[in-house]
Order: sequence, then C-alpha cells, then structure tokens
Amino acid sequence: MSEQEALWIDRALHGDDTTFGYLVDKYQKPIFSLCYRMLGNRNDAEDAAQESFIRAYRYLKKYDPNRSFATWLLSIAAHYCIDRMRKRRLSTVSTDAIPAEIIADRNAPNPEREYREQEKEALIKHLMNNLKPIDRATVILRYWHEYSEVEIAEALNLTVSAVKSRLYRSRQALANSWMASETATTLSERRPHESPAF
Amino acid sequence: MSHQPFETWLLSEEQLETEQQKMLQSHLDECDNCTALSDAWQQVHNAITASPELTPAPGFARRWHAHLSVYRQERQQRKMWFLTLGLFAAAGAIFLTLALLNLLSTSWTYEISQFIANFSLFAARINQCWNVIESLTDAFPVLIPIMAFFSVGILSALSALVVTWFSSLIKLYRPANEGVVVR
Repeated sequence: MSEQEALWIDRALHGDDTTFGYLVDKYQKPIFSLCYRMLGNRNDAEDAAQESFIRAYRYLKKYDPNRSFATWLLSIAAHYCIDRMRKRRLSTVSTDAIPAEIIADRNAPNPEREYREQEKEALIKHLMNNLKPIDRATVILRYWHEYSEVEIAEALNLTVSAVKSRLYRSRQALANSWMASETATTLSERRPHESPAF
Repeated sequence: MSHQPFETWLLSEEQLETEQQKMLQSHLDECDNCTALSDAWQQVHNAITASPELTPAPGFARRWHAHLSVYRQERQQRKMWFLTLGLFAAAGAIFLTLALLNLLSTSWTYEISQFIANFSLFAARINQCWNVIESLTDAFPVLIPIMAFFSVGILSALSALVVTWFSSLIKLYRPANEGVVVR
C-alpha cells in the first residue's frame, strides 16, 4: 500500500469522504470488472460495485493496514456478489440462461471487430455461467486479477487446498463447456449443407 | 484407456518434472480425448486473458458520493425510528411496572370503590362549574358572545398546535433523498 493510499484511508477514517472518493476513483475499474464478471450485466455490476464501496466505507475501521487494500476491497465485492447470486438463484431464473443477441454497432469504427469482441465476451459469459458463485470468484481472481492461490484463499476465506481444488474443478468445467459449445457450433454449421435423407 | 494422471496434470497448474512432461506428451500423441481437453483449456485460457478489464460508466465516484449521502440519510432515519421506539418501549415498561406494583399492593374492591368515588366527585365538580357559568350568563347576558369567542379561539389554537406537531413528525420521518440524483 502506498503512503498516499495510507493517508487517504487515515483521513477517511476521520470522516473525510473526499479522500475515500479518491480510493473509489482508483479502484473503480477492478471492482466493477469483478462485479461484471460475477453478475454478467452492467446494471447489476454498477449496483454491486457501488454497494461494495459503501460497505468498505462502513467497515473501514475493521480494515487491517497490514493487508493489501485492493485485496480487502475485492474480498468485499466478491462476497457481496456471491450473496447476490445466491439470492437471485433462489428468487428468479437468471437471464444469463437466455443467450444474448449479439448486434454489432454499425457506427463503431470497426463493426466487424466490435462484433467479434462482443461474441467473445458472450462466450466467456456463457462459460462462466456454468460455474458456482464461489468457483466463479476464484477463477476471476486467478485469471483476471492474477491473484495467487494464497491471496485468493485470503480474499474468499478459504483454505489454500480448497482454492486449488475449486480452481481444478472450474478449469475442468470450463474446458468441457468449451468443447460442448464447439461441438454445438460445428453441428449447426454443418446442418444447412447436409443432403436430404431421401 | 486410462486418462489419469494425465488429465490432472493438464488441468493443475503445478510445474511438471521432465519425466512427467515426457509421459504426458507421449499420452497426448495417442489420446484424442486428452488432446481435446488440453486444447479446450488452452482456448479458454487465451479467451480469458485476452478479455480486457471493464470500465464503469463515467462519473462513478460522483455517483458513489450521492449513494453515500442517501445511505447516511437512511441510517439517520433508522436511528430516529429506533430512538422513538426505544422511548415508547421504555415508557410502556415503566407504566406497566407501576401498574403491576399498584395491582399487587392494593385490593380490587378498594380500587373499584375509589374509582367510583373519584368519578362521582369529578361529575359533581363539572356540575358546579356549569351552575356557576349558568348563573353568570343569567346575570350578565353580554358575557355569552365573549365567552364563545374565547372558546373558539382556544380550540383553534389547540388544533393548530396539533397539526404543526403532526406535520413536524411527518417531515422528520419522510425519506429525505428528494433532489439527489443517484445515477
């Protein structure tokens, strides 16, 4: 943690909202990104990221300065998203189950590239959707935030061996989903050219 | 064909020894399933690492400040409600305790007879007051409009006080986030 950051935290602890605002500004991208990867849409990600920062501000007194502030924030956001996903699964069917229609922005400088980017994002979203909330959080922290297994264990209150086994299971599930989607794509591409049965 | 321990080696990120690497490679040369699994994981890994960090809509920190002020107002209102409820609960508890102590220390028949006696005394006092007012109005009929005027004035003042008190309470507990743009 930098000296500047420690100063901001100290001032925020004494009731200075403006300095906590600097921290919000600094960490908005990783927190929003984590929430988006967990929840799958921008509106929910915005709400979750805002709420995570409110919780961080509320519990700032409990923050241990020996720990990384970024890890502490990501831990709050990940737990919030896990709770939210569990509640959502209990109450409604996830809209992620419905495949999103990909429409390229014709006004974009390179609509073809834009389309490919969106397609890739939709595919990642589909793959991640098959994982359990905690497994999803471990994958996001490992591959998007490049956290070590020890750091993930610290952030998600898990043991290192639990993180290892969750990551292993998630990699297996992701690879299997990828193979299944590849097979489905190949079949749907082949069908129009198949010769009639009679 | 057994895919273990090769499947575990493919999906765990542990560093393999040279001998293990050779064994894995020779298995991959023969096994289509493990080759497909290895390729699939590699593709997923590439897709994930190529996916960029996402950015929220501009003005995130400004929206957070607005969110914080709404949160604070809600917390303040919750505190006020708890304080009010606490005061009412404390008053209720005191009243109940006193009533219970009173019940334990006195007999029912004595209490009922006292109540009837007090009520009769109160009714007699009201009757006396009414007789005084009647004799005054009989002696001085000019007092009737003056007394009516004062009575209406006092009632109006009391009504205004009650209305002000209720409107203050409503203002105090109403959500105070009007005019705050959260997003």
